[in-house]
Amino acid sequence: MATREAGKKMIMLKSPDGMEFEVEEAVAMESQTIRKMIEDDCADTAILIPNINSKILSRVIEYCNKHVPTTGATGAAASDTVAPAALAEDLKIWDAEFIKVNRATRFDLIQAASYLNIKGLLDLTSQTTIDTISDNSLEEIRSFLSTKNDYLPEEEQTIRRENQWAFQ
Amino acid sequence: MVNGGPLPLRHILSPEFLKKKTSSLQKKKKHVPQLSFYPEEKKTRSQILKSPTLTATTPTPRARQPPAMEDAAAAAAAVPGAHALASRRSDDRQVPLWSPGLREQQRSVDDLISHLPDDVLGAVVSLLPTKDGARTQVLSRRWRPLWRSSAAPLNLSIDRRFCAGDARKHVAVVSRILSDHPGPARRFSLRQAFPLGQIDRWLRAGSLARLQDLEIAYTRVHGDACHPMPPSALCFAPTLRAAKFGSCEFPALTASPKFPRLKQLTLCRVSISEDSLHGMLSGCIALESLSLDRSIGIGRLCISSPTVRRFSFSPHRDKQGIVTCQELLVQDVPCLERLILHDSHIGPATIRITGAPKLELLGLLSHGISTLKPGTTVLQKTIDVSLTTIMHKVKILVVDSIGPNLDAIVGLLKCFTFLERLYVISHPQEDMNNVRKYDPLDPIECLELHLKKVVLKNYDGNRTQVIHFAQFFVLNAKVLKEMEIGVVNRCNSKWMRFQRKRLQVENRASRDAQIELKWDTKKSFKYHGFSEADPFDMSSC
Repeated sequence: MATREAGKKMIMLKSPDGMEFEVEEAVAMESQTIRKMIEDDCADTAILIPNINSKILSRVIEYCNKHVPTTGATGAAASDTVAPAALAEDLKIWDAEFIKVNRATRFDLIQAASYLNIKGLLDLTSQTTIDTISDNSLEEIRSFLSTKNDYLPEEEQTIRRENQWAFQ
Repeated sequence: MVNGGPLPLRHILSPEFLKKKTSSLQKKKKHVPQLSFYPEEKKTRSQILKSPTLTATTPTPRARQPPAMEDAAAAAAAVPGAHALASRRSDDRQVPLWSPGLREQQRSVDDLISHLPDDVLGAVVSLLPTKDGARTQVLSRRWRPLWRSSAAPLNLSIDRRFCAGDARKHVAVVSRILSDHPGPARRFSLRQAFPLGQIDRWLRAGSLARLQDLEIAYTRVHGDACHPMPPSALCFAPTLRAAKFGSCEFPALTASPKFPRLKQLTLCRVSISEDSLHGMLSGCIALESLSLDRSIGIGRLCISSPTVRRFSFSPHRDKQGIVTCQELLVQDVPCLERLILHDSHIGPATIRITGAPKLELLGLLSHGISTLKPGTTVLQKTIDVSLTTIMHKVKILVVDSIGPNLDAIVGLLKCFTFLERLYVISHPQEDMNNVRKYDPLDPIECLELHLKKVVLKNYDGNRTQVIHFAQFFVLNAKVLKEMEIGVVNRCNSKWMRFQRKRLQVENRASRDAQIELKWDTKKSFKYHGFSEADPFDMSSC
């Protein structure tokens, strides 16, 4: 059900829990997965986004809305008055606020970014995990990720021995 | 237990497991302050720990979400540009064995990250420093296969951290990593010297095929001595997207390789002939970011590219301290946004910039440049600026000023009509007269409408000409938002108050301006690299 609103092509995104989101095509195309569907003409009716609930999908759309490049008539005017450097600075601050969510939401966002293939969002959401793993002890990492050590002690020792250089 | 799979459900729900998990979480709680848990998580965790029983038949309140996300309809309404058309509420994933409330709780206790697909976890592993990446194998069975799989493109960085202890012992380790990994590789970085034949064997490894990011940057050796470039390094030319070479000696390139995808090139203290460098640059048809740092063997450099957006340059000095590069021409660069000249007080003597209509950031103009020619007009020592030379797009300007010379800076301001940020490193000189009356009949556009930030280094409050220089901006920059003055004098608050009075801060032209004086021993601006929106801004650090 692609419609037109103020000259812009709109796309309907549907979450599995029945919510529908009408977004500009350019915003939806921030997702490479959706872009491919649109380009392949598979997007005449609403696009069902499996595995991403409305709560997460709304946040993903919020992200794409912010990060969609400003093009077209109004966009060109905006980019003439605002320096790209200043825009990048604003986006960085906005991203930092956006990612202040609880852990469950963050992991859901990682999954959504992966499925929808939105590189910027995937990088942003993965970064906290990367920061956690870098320069922390294994126990600290396991604790943060709630990962259970399911190795037998001797198995763990073998892996440590095989990769001794990484533990020096 | 089956290799790498999630724990069986009955095992997760068994009282023994939950008891063990709860006690282990309590035990691990002491780590919490060191890690960046958010308040919501702490609450979720403590709520769960307090709940007396956790069984499939006793639904408990959902884990607390941020208020805006509590309700799906509210969440949708909060998204600009997205309209919720229906708000039938149901859970997205059907989990038949227990209620959604319990599922949320279970998810909080359970290993959230292990549910993510291989490629997502692999991407995380791939972005980690090499040792940290390898260590993820020990986290759990789920993580073990990732580091050596194609889901986690190889990120191998052979640096000082990697080679702790005896570097020679690591030859076998590197060879094994390269032979065990199926590829692809995300990045190969070599910062330690090994025998050339060995490096060449590594570079020919199958796992490095179609490498996109290569760094061969050795630690600096004595003087200008360089390590020879491994012959196989240039074989990656067709696939590279980012490359950095440091303290390497380039072979004489008779037929320069083409770098059709290269976007980022950094050469740091490399020995390369003028012809080879120009040939190599002409083969970089997609280059966006170029950094040439103290390249040896370049007398005259000409940068001309339809794609380059950022260019930084610093000159090389020989053993006698003489700058070898005498002339830098930046011409026909329609996309150039940033031009940064490091150590420009030593040269090159002539810098000519033509055909750079998009230039936004220009730094560091310096007294060492005897001739700067933006456009068609010659600027002598950056002082005699012709009014016809107007650079409309430049928003950020970094200047090195002897005196400081207010007349010279005002001359520049007339050229850079849309300037928003001005950084000045002042070098006090005795015979400078900076008393200047601002003529309202001859307004300077950027002072009237655009200049929002002024940063002044080396402010010496005992020198009248320095005070007059700073005062000019206080009294005449009408839309100024902030001014930072780095004071070199040891001072107390009384002295600072006195300085503010001398600067006439009370009479400032922009009432909104925040004018801050602070003790600052750093003599110049630190450059934070191309990725920053304003690479000279200290506030973001």
